[in-house]
Amino acid sequence: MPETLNLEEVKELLSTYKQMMYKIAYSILHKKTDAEDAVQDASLWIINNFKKICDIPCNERGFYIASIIRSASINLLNKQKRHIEYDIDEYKEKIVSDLSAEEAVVSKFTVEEIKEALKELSDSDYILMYLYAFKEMKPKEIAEIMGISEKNIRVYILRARKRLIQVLKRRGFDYEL
Amino acid sequence: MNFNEKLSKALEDSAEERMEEMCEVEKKHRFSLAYRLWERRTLDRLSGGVQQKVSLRRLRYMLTVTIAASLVLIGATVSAVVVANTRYSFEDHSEYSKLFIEKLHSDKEVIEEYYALPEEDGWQIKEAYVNELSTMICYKQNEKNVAFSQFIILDNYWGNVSTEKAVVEQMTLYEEDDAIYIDHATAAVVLLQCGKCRKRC
Repeated sequence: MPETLNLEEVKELLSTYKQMMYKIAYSILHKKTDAEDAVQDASLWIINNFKKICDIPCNERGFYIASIIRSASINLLNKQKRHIEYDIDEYKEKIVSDLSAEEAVVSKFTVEEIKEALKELSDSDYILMYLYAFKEMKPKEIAEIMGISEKNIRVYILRARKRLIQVLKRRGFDYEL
Repeated sequence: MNFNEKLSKALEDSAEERMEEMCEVEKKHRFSLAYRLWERRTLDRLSGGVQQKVSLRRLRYMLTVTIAASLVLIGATVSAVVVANTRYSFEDHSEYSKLFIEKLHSDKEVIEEYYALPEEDGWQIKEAYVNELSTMICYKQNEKNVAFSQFIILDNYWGNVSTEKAVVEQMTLYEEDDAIYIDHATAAVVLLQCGKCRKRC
């Protein structure tokens, strides 16, 4: 535990995001006790890495914490064997081929259209997109924060991106080539 | 501007609003007693108060066992009985400064007075059980029974907990709002209410 840890700051941070963490955990685990377990794991991670969290600008902190609780929830699912490890090569091959076919189409979407479509993405997908596409973090870095294998992170990113494009198409923003 | 650049811009523009939405909670979750105790212990540990690490699962288990044991003890003989002439209620109330909770066997008279259960009114202890974690007392007056359990959950301190200086919160253990959780600077107390005590007019 860092010696300089400020108890009041820790309390404030946990209290600010506790409800959000529970909400995300519950949306993944669908069970109150499991969700609280995940919040506990995430809170411990936050306490043990408090300095790192403090270094993140305030307006971005929430997304990191959201990604931490998401990872804690998924780890819990893994422990309960309710979750599977993806075979990235097989999965990537399929999605990448789909994505490359769509690349020419998606480049025509406007920022506003993408913003609208982002609203329909789940919090988990949004967080991944935020860290990967906006913060330009590498899958390995995201994997470190979330405590999930890099393989899985790559799959999640590809899936999130694919879902975003599906939303764009469904909302009628599809452009014919 | 390619798709990734547009996506990045869209994310930048929408991030603040999205975070607000994520933090919005329709119905605030009331964390379980086990979680609150774990949080308290963990924060105590940060400030150097508590050395022992207790997991949430273990705490949940300990609490379940303790409460179950209490209820078994109180058990079949005493059920939730409404006591119409009890002077004090367990309602959390901001000006409810007189209520304080103490380890019963050391200050029985005070507790009886506060709960309006003096012997001269015919109230007698029917069953009592005290250990390091909890105190369970069943009082009886003719056909009326009052049972209450008090869990003082703390590692190294016994003392009065005044609601004047503590955060009092109604909480649910088995039935809705059947307990009160008192978070004090030096102690965390759970008062399990067996029977609805009402304030005497």
